Amino acid sequence: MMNPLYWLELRVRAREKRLWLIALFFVIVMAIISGIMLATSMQSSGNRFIEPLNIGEGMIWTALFCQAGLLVILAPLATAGRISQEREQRTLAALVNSPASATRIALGKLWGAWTFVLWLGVLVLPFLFTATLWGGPSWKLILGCLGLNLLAGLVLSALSLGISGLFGRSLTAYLVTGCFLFGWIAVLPMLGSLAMALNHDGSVAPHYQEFVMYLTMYHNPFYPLISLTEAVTETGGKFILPMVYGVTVWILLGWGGLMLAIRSLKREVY
Amino acid sequence: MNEIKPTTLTLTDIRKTYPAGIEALRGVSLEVRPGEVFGLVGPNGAGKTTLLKIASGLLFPASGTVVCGDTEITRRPKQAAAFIGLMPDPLGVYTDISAREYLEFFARLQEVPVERIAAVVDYAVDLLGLRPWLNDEVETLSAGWQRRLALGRVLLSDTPILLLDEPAAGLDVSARSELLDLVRTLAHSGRTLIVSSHILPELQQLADRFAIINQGRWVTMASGRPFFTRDELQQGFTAAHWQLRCNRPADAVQALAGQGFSATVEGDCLTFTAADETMAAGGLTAVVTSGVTVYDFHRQQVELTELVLQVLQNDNLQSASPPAPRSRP
Repeated sequence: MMNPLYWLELRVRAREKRLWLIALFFVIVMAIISGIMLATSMQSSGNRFIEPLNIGEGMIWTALFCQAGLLVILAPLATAGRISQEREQRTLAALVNSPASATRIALGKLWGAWTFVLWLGVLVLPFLFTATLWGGPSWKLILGCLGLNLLAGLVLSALSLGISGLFGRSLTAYLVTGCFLFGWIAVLPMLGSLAMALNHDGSVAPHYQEFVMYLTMYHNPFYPLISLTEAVTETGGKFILPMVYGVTVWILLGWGGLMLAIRSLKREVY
Repeated sequence: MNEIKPTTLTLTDIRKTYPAGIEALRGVSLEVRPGEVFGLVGPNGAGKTTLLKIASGLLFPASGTVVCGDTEITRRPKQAAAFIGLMPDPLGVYTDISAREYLEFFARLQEVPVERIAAVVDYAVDLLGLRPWLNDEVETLSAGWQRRLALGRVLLSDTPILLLDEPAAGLDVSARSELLDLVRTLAHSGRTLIVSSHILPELQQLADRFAIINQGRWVTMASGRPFFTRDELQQGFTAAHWQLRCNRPADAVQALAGQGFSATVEGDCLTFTAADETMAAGGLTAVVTSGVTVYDFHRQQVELTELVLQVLQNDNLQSASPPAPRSRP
């Protein structure tokens, strides 16, 4: 039988105006950015012959990175209050007083949130399809990038769900999730860049820069996507390891988030 | 619905201290018999909700055990859910779905087979009279209907024990009466019920046995026992008060005094205490023989409200220190 929490999420979320507004916002942002990209490409070509391949590539990367950027914001936004809200509304007692295990409840909520991510993933398909008519990267690469984005969405959803389980108030859960993601996505790479810039004279150990990159950047939600595109467009090989490392850290973080959520559902319900 | 197997609920020496250091329960033991309706009475912060939540596995006791039938369910909410359905207070209902979706969701959560969900929901809907509001959003339902819906949730599974925490709280007189009628119907379904309530007159009609909890422990009666039955309540425990209305109360008091009774007079009524009906009849005979005309003679019933107030007052007086302010963490 379908997970009941997932069933509820599908029923409820499908009716939420917010969902459709977010989707509309997503499509409008994608359309605007793609339009600007197209206009810029055409303008920069001047009187020369317009190369359709460049336009196709530009649109595809714009769509994929734009999708990644929006998912980083929207996936946690859709998940961050899922458990804390149950505590806040006092509905958690009814959930726990049932034969459903904490794992089942947490997974139902996670799949519910990830379905939203998938929905946003589907919305980008028309853009990608239109762009490929101009030419550009192979479908395999596009699907790989899309898969990475969806995985990033799942990881961010799991992390947000875990943080949500720690708090009894949704607002606190949202704020802490925001702080965590800001630290991970923005502050860590900035610190990494700073550390590398301060030691740019080559006086440090040879692997220092690589170490800083592993510590602060390779696991960034955008980095595996960058690695994948660079692995294809540049010389390849050297980008694979950071990408695998990044995805592994993601999976561990996502797993940790899910475990945190399950653990929080096993706590006492006041 | 499947046949419900009557089950005993036994709590032994339950202690619970909240993280803030508040001692909510101080060694409470209780055995509720199969099919019994047990009334849990006490002031705010006495420990009623804590006790019900511990029984259903939502809170973990510092010590003590909870056993349903032969199965220990202490700190095991999933196992507890197989035996116990809790209607908590406050309710906590999902407001952004329809009443039907609410019940269907909980039927799924209770692992009711898909092919039985419609039948189980219909059973609860018909029992609770929810059909006219089935497609309305829960948010739009009145407090009384939301409470019925929450009661419907616990009826979706065949749990033999129902814990109803303040089921009629916040309802007007009519809605309260209707809801308690429903609870009365449930009491005849073979389920074991524990009902906590502030509305004592209704609880008095509903429960087979009562216990008063105060400051995390049972308050004992004059008999020294922590529990008492409805019959005991009606009979005034060890001695019943008898009320007599007559034309010459002063002469009646004198006649009763001759038989060893002490009576109090208020207007044309006088009240005296007799251990049983035979002794009371002796008192009445003495009054009538003295030439007093008796208009009315009956046993005065003790109201639960009055009893609880009296018992709690004594309990608070007996406590070494005044009750500390209690709040949820």
